[in-house]
Amino acid sequence: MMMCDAWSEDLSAWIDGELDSRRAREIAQHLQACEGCRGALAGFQHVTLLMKAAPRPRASRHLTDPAMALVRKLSRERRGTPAWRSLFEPFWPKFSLALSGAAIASLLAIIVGHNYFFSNPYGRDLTDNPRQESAAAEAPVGPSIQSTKPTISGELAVADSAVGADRVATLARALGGDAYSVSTAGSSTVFVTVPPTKQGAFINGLSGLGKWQNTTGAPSLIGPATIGITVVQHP
Amino acid sequence: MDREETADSLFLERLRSRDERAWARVMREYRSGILGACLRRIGNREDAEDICSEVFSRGVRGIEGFRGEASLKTWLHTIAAHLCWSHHTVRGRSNHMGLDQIPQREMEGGALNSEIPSPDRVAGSAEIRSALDHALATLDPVLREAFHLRVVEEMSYDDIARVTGVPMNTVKTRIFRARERLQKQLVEHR
Repeated sequence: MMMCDAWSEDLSAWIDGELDSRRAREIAQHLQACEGCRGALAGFQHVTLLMKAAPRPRASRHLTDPAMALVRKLSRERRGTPAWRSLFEPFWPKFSLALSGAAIASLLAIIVGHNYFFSNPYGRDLTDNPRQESAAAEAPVGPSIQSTKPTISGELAVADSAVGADRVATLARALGGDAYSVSTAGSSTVFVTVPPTKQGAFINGLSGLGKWQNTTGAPSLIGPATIGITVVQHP
Repeated sequence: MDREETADSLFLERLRSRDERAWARVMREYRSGILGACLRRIGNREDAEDICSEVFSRGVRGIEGFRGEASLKTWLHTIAAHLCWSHHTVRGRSNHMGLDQIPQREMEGGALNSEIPSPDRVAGSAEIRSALDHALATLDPVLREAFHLRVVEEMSYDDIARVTGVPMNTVKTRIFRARERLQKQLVEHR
């Protein structure tokens, strides 16, 4: 018995679930009454199941290797990662960790070395001479001289204490140092700093300005020092 | 946008950023289906594998062009269809590989729904398989393609229309014709 032409294509679409609900109900009703269409439906279902049951090719994983290589290449380009990194791809996490560690260690070494150099520019072993280390740390410049306790103190007797104080300051500045003076009635106190290599010249210069007397004994003038000079008027 | 659409758009974003895991998942999921469809169209295993490989390479390169109007699977099958028809045009042939030409070690059982009888029961003897294979080999390639995409790849008529570039009614007719002719040949074989 033949199937009805009016239903044939829809019969096939009905198997595939591609009909709207109204048309699907009409097909179902028609099938109850039409033996020819029931036979055709059985035949359609049979070939469909045969096709579904047919063996399928199994694709090897390596089939998509070129495409995966392309994914990795484009991914690297997108991230801006250089091609040489692909050489390290298998062990990149460990390698990058080691690289980061080395970079941090190098940075720390540079910072520590920099600090050590600038805290001890003359390369002396500060631990052997704590007094000079302290002096180095406290080396005063400008107004801070006033608050610094002098390393060397002395008295300079001159004809005019104000003029004498000015000359002491001028001498210190001429030798690359600095000076700060405090004047009181009848005397002036000048706090001076001069570079260590110029300290001998400064003391000699003081002798040329008046009568100089070191009241702290005879300290060795090594390293930065503050010299407190009380300039008094000679009677 | 519901959760599924959000998940899809996030996954698509991963594909666009060439996320290795996302692409590995796509390739694992679709490579056998794409290979099967190519094999049904051109019939030569080696050529079908080359085309299948090229489908994924083109997919990786051109994912920005995927607008998400159809599924990713449909999009990849569309690329495969174009490549197969180009191959057919260049080579001037369209051989169909018979099921018995595919080595058994390269096969895996068809994925059947639980309510469908087992492959052995349905496909029965090697004789019936051979008859189906013969019927498919003589079937018009466009009918074979539509029927394969519907039954094996379980694609909707709308998706098949996208892949093959014909109206949905044409797809409906092609699938009907394929069923009709295959059934006729199998009946004649008995």
